[in-house]
Amino acid sequence: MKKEKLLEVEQLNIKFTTSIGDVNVSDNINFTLNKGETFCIVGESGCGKSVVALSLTRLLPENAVINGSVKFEGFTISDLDDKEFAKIRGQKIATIFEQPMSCINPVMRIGEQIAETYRANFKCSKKEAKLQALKKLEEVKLPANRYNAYPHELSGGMQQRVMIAIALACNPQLLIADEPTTSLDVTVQYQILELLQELKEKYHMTILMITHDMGVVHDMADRIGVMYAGNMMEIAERDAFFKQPLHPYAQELLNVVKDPCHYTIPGTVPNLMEIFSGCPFEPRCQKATEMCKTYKPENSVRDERMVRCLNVIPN
Amino acid sequence: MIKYIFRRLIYLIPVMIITSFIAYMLVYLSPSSPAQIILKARYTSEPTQEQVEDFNEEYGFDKPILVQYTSWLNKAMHGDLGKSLTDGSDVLEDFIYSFIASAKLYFSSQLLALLIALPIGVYSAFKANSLFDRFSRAYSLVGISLPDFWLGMVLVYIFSIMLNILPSFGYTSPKNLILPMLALGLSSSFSLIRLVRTSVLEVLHLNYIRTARSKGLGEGQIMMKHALRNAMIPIVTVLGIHLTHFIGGAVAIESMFAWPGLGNFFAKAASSQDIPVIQGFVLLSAIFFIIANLIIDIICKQLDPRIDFHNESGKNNG
Repeated sequence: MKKEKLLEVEQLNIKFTTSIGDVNVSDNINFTLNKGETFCIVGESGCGKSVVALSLTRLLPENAVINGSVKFEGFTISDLDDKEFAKIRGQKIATIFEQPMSCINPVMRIGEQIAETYRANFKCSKKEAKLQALKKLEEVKLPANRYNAYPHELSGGMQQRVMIAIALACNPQLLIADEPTTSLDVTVQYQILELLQELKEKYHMTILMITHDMGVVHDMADRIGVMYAGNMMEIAERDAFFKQPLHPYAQELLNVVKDPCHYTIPGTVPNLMEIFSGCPFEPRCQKATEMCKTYKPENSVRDERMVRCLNVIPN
Repeated sequence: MIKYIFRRLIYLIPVMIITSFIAYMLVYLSPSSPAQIILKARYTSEPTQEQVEDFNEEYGFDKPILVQYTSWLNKAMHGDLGKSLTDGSDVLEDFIYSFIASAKLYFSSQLLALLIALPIGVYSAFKANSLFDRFSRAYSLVGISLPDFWLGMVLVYIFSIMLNILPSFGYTSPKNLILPMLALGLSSSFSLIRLVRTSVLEVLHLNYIRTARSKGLGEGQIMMKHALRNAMIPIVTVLGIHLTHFIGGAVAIESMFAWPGLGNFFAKAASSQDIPVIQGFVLLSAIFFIIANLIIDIICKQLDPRIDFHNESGKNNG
């Protein structure tokens, strides 16, 4: 069965210009999302996962310089000007963020915030938007009488449900979920993930999920991308990945999950202001060779699998 | 809400008693006696011992201070604030007259300041670090450094002397209001521009603005519906604090334009030790401030639903 592509990202380079120099957070990243799948990007904090996700809808701060091509449904959206691009946000691609408390407007009733998304994208009466908002509240399993509540009157889990309702108000094709469960406790995390899964099936949505939690990846992902220091190190189907991760960094990540109390990957994530002459993971990699210090690995691809490592060839 | 307003109004009683008592004590502690000052003004010569004693007896100043105070308080509670020692006019009427004059000047100038500062500050924040923003920042910095009476002098020079289209002093016609209002309004607008710019800029970097963008809202909608309302909370709070200027802040402008406002009124009473006027003034000002602060708090509550009137710790961010 040939899979239909929804989003194609090619040669994505992102850097932040700061007063003390440039920070490179994305180095020639390529990946595609197939319609209806959940693609998870994993990696430690500070690897550029969220930046890549936010760059897709241009939600980065002004000092970000983005290069590369992003195609949505075969249409290059990276060339659109900001005004045209605003039409894609919310309607075609929606985003949910971590820390829902800070991401919803504290002085606006939650129902109005949901209705506003709908009205911003479809010309309709206030009444119609309110009906749609009530429908969305029901879908995220919040009682209708919470329509007039303010964000601070809700718990963290309920706030994230509101965030999801805002994002899904226009039934987008692609949902970008940037660490949606990070600030929530474990039982609420589970409920939120379950809700996302349910809504995904209902609306045949595609989800791009950013997380550092391998458990979430295992439960949610169809395919997985492993990011390290602005590089996409490995892309694989879920089952193949968990059976045998190929990249040494991916193997280390799984080692941590197997023994979370005792095992840590030696070293720390590098400062992204450095320019790497070799592989960025080389200083922490147990399988590194002399070659890794001088040569930058290229993407090697076979079938559905991609690895960026000099010592590994996908088979 | 109504319960809260009621409770706040109950606070009025102790505050009124305490402030008026302190004011009474301060007048009593000052080395010169009202009799000396007022009689000197009345007879244009040093009063005799006899005259001073007569005066003190007439106005009750020979009695112990606490007796004086309680009898004043008793009358005040029945709405009688006494008469001025200098010209015998009714204190309450005088106060109301000056209050209205002050209110005209203060509110029109603050409105002008807001009308100038809101668009400039918002646009500055919206286009932060643009040419416009740099210009408006420089402009407001220069403005803050200028005293309001200097601005008043310049305005008088331009509009009254050079162009001769506006009167430089007086109170009778609406035209009289224009120059003092411009002077005060312009000079408060400078700092207000900076305040608006910083508060809006601060809000624009918050996560919910990013959310608003991710929803597909246009920049104008984001500014009006999400940024401005949140940014107004600190602005209204500061405007509330600025209410103290209502009484003292405009003395220079009021005397320059011969505007019969509260600042002028109180300065005159204080220098002549006109005790009934000072007392009445302190009492009525306290009432005014408590009510004004209550109104500001209610506006803030309307802007920010997180403010909880039943919880004295204020904001509940949990």
